[in-house]
Amino acid sequence: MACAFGLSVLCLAASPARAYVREVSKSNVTLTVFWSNPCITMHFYDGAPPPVLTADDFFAAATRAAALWSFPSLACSDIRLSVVREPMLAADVGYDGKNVIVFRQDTWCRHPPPQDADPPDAACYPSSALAVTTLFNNVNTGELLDADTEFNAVDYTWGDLVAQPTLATNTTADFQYALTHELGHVIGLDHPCYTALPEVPLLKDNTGATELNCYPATNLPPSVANAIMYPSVSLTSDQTKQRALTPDDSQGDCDIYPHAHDTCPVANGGCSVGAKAQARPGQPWRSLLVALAGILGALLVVPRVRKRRT
Amino acid sequence: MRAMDLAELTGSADRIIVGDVLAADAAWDSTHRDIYTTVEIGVREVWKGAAPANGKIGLRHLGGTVGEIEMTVLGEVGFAVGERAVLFLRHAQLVGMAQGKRRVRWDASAKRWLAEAPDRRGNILVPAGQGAAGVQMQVSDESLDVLREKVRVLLGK
Repeated sequence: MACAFGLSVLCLAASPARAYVREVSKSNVTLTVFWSNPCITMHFYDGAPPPVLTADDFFAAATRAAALWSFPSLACSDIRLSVVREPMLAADVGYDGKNVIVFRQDTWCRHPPPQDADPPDAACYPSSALAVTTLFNNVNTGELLDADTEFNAVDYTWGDLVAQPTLATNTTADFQYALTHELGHVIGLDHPCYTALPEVPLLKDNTGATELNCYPATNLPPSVANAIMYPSVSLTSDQTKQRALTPDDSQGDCDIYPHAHDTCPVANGGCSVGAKAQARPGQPWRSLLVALAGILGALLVVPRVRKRRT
Repeated sequence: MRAMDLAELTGSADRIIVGDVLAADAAWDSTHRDIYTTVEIGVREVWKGAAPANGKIGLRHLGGTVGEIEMTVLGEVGFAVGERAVLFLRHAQLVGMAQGKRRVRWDASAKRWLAEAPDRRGNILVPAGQGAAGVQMQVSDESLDVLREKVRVLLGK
């Protein structure tokens, strides 16, 4: 949008709101979840990857997906999602402080299913689930403590549909797209719309507006329907169109984790734990600050332009 | 989560019931890595499968809260004591995770029971507005009587 100086305030006010919805505690929907330390390591188990990509291909895709949400690719964010490669075939998931990305290839179950699971397949997922992300959080503070993402390689094939678009079928999905979406959940973003009358009250987006119904997508503004956090994609359409973050996705990341560090401190280095974490449950003031900064920027830049012209 | 239409939910279920949630208790598993919630359902109607001998069935699903730790499996659904729901079950688990639960509530103005649309909040990768077979998804409430009749037809009864 081109805005003449002097109309900055009006242009800012008329700009489309950057809407996103945050994940909330399921037992307290007023409590948003967040990482107190934005330096998040995901351990990627690709020792024997499923077809059709190689382990290197999967790792490269995972690294790209993580980078999309992270500084410096996303300059306004403090998130550093790093992917560490693990050579083992599979991994346990659960509350262990180790964030995991893993393919399930033999059975579509948490592996191994707990011995005390009764019935035995209580730890297994339905075949209709392509991927499952599990979050652990503190119910008093909302702090995220552990996140694991499991991919169903029993019922689906994971590919690179940019490099191999002809692979797209009802059972083939784009790995990078799906992981980017799941990593959005990992950092605390929910879908930007609801998919039916939910159990919990309808959530508000960051602008205070009640979230919209996801269906039909044709009724939605493009900013919602095109978001990486939109919950729907056709397996037979071009999933790769949604690999990139939209401005709404980026805004969510940057509002929850505004950039404060140029390097990721080592463990216990105090990477934003403390005062910043206190601001994370909700930052309605930040949009105002961004707007004010935009106005200030315009005030600083425009006179220089005029000077050059004279 | 791939969206499932009513035909797929019905076909995949080994038991379909209407029931009331009598109890829901969360606990860590023996490894203290996962939280499971055990749910007791008082069965009011059986649409498919055998009726339980004592009128109750038990479910166990991943997720729940114990102490100050909450485990959320995105796509799973919770149960609140006192709520009523249509449940599509297979091996005592919800079919399609949250999609297999249709909460039922009384519509006082119309004086009828309504089955709410399935909750797909936690789903990903749902084919847009349609199921795998191109069937339109149910996205709004419907009369419990209508839903019961749809299931009866699907079961060929």
